[in-house]
Amino acid sequence: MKIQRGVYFLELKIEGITKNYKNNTALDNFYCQLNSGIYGLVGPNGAGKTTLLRILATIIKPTKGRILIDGEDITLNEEDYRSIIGYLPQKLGFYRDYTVTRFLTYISNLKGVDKNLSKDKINNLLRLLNLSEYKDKKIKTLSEGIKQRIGIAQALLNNPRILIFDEPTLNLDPKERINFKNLISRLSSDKIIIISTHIISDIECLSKEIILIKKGEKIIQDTPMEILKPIENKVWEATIDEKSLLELQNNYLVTDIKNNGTDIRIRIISDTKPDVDFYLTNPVLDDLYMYYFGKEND
Amino acid sequence: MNEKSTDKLENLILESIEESVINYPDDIRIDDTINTLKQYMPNKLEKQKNKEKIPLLQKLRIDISLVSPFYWLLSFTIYIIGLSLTLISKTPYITISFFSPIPFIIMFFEDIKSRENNVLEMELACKYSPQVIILNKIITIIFYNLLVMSSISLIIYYVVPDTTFFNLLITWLTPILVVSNITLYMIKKIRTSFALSAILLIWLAFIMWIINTPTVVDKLYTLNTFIYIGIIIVTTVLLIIQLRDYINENSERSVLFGA
Repeated sequence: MKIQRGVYFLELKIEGITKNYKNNTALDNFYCQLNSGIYGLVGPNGAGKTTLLRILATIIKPTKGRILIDGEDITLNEEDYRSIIGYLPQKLGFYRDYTVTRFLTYISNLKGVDKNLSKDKINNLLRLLNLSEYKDKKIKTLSEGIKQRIGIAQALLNNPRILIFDEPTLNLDPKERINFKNLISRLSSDKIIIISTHIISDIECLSKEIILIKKGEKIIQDTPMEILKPIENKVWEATIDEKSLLELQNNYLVTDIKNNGTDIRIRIISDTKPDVDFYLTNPVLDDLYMYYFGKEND
Repeated sequence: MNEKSTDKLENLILESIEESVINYPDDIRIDDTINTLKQYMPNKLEKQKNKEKIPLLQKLRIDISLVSPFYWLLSFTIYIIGLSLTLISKTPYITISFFSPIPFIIMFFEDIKSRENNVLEMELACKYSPQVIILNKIITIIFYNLLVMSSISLIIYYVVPDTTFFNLLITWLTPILVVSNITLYMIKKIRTSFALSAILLIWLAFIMWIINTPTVVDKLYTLNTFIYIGIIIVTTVLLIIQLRDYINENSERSVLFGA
């Protein structure tokens, strides 16, 4: 079975991936199966997200386990596999003296994009990501947000079937974030898109499935609706005064606090009703994040 | 279901298992199974054919584009200055051996640069494998430098009287190989461009010391050719071993631990 372009069925299987470093295990027997669509990889810092994405992008090798694309182990044909992936690393780096066009041309050469096609492809991407006006500017003169968009553009150069984004919205302003989300949802019909983030709102409406990862292990993988089941009927909300805040914070898992100046709105996860003023409310992904990782963040 | 009837059922199953015979499949059926499964095996020949499809010119274009234009320009400038100095120098052999290693030291800035700029992680996810990227960069630069140095030797051989082409070759090849080995060893230990700057400065200081020490110049001039050839062979082998280790450990380590 050969990895081919233009074939719409796509299945990526992560089978028992473990990555050990000298004194710690970054990933521990990680299993996962992905098909076309957007997947949000969510977890706190140090959970193993970047390690997993680097393994998927063949940047680093797993200690144990394998990755299969349409049933074929990617190590059998890494060059072919890399020709169908696009990767945006968390820490972006550029040759500072390159212009935007030169950098994208350089990356398209590394990706083996046909020279006759690469010029058009680069121009299309520059237009798509609102980068046309910067195409002849040196990268060192550009803002972090624009650099992030160049990073996204380079990931798309080879029209990849698997897109791997590590914290893609990190340096983007709110408008650019919306543009990014629109772009991603347009691309997702025939691609596997994996987005690692700890900003839940970035993937909440986009994701086909969300994968929660903690200490190198997958906790749960499900649709945004189904994944909330563990905290159904456990999220409480109330308006409180400042005096009660500290006590509630000490005794309950607080997922959100909104200070309106006069009063405070608080969300709490609890099996039982915390106080008479509290009422049950619909859980959201931020609550789920706090449910699994709240104590860790403390 | 009571215990008695369970035992009865168990005995019945055991009897039927004992009576059943599993025939060893004949060769045709074994072959059929192998042929059916063959489609799922990776085809090495096909992979090989695909790799050969990249035309040489396209490959060369990709390899050249891996190296920044600044490097080509800088090294070419060094060669022009070096050639001019050698042509007017009274000691062409010594002059040529002084400037020849400089473009090789600068060559490693090319690799270090991508690590210091965090570009490597992006580069490593591209179609061409990390090892291929680094190796191609180094090989392209080495070939370019050897080609230019050979051309310079030819020019000197024809222009400067009393020079031999072979002696010119060994007098620049020896310092290139010695310095490249030291450079590679240093950047494996200290993974920053600081190591390269230090080597460049040490080399320039060494040149100044030799220029001001005529006895050393005399000794270098009268050194047996076989000693030069011996050094070239040993340093070539060492360089190949060092390059192999460097390329293998380069990709993952650089991404994980930075430059």
